[in-house]
Amino acid sequence: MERGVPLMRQLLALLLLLTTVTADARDLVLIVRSDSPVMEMDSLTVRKLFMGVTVTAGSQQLYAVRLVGDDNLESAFLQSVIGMSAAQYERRLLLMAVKQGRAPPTVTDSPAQVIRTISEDRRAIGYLWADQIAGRSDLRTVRLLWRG
Amino acid sequence: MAALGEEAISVLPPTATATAEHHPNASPAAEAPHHDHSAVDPGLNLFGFLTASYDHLGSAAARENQGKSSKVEGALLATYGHGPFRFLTEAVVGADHADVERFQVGLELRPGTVIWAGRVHQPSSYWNTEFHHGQYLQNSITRPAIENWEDEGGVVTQHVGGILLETERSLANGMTMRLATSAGYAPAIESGTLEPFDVIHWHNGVRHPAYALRIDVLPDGIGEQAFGVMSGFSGLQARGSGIERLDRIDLTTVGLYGDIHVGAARWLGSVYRIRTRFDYDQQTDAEYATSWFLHGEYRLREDWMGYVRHESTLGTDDSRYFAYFPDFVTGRSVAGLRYESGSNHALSLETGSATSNGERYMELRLQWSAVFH
Repeated sequence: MERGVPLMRQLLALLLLLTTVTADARDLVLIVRSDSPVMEMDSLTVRKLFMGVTVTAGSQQLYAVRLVGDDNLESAFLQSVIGMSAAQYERRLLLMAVKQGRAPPTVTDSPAQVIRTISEDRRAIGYLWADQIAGRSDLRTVRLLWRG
Repeated sequence: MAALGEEAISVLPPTATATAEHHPNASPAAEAPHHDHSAVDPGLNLFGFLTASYDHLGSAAARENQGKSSKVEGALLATYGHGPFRFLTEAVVGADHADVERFQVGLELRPGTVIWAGRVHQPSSYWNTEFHHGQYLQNSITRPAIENWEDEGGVVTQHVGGILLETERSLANGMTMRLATSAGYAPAIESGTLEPFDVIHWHNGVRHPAYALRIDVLPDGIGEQAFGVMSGFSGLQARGSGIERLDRIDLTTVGLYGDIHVGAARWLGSVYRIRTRFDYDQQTDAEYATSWFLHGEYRLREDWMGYVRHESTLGTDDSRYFAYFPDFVTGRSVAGLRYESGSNHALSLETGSATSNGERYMELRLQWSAVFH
């Protein structure tokens, strides 16, 4: 019993620490409009979409909306989805555009613009922090991309 | 911080929304007419490429063929897309030349499938389909001689005037299959070079048909790993070749390629079997050559890359066809370093040895390349 008290305190401290970490954690999520035909998307397909490869749902071509300007979000996106540095990713998109005249992902530096673009078109797919779309019934989370 | 794998989806709350079938009135066209094409439209995109280079070749004959040791060249690529319609043109301008390399209009038949008409790159070269004319896109300064453009001493068809169909299909296992095929007018042999179909000056004379096909398998679905087969046929108009009684040369190529990324390394290789069939008045005969190259790159740091390449073309010694291109490099080994500044400037240094017309000589090249868009 005498040795159990410090152990209990340590466990409580650990629990408190974990709770704190969880409260501060932010989830990066893949989102679509609530009536999007996309119900799920595996990690490879997400990567294809944001690398400029044609991805369809039925006969509809999907398109990607990319958010820049939030360093943490961009870093998490490049690490968890693309698996490349920013420079390599830019070069890859350039190659796709030059080779086949393809449209690169739509780019915006505004989370509100991401939400607006997706809520206006069911073929659009983007990513945001989960707390940025909390409470919105017009958007739907398709996939958790990263948890930090 | 940790990336989550496939199982991460299970921690999400269940989605409570419907598919399009549950909302038949919610078609994109009905709800967002202004976005029917606009969001996926490429629109107008302009890319400018600039290259400044200095080459030192250890052969008097090679130097004479090369002309100036330093040169500046620019390329402009414009693409436009609206709805199913596409347009792409690529022009290259140097101190002593200006060429429209590609001029093509296209129609997207379905997502991932486009048919083009105009002057196009024939698809039976993976290297050229990967890098096109933008020198910045290609990490090495030189390209394998078998992949050279016609106006740079190339010996196989790279441009045709005709149609090009490109299509790709994602498979259920994550792989992607791509197919590209072209049919059109082949180059002619004139003035010691292949003269491809010219869309601007329109003085092409008699041209024979050219066909090409490439099938790609992308195991990763994206193209960081790619394997494929390619084949091309060109009927080269040869009356201007200067060879008596020679009307036409039929050039047939069959090849394989592989492009593999492993960590910081990339290996790209191709092998071609080339058959040339000479058509004299009443007589034909054929000869064969084999060309291959293996190109390796290693990213030393984020902004530094090293590369090596070895290439060889066999069967050229007694070839009447290759004799028509005496400056063609039949063997080359190079090593180079490339420094990238940001995502649009690169400085490269390349050295090695080359063999042309039976003479082996040293090469030293320095190049700055950039892209603006």
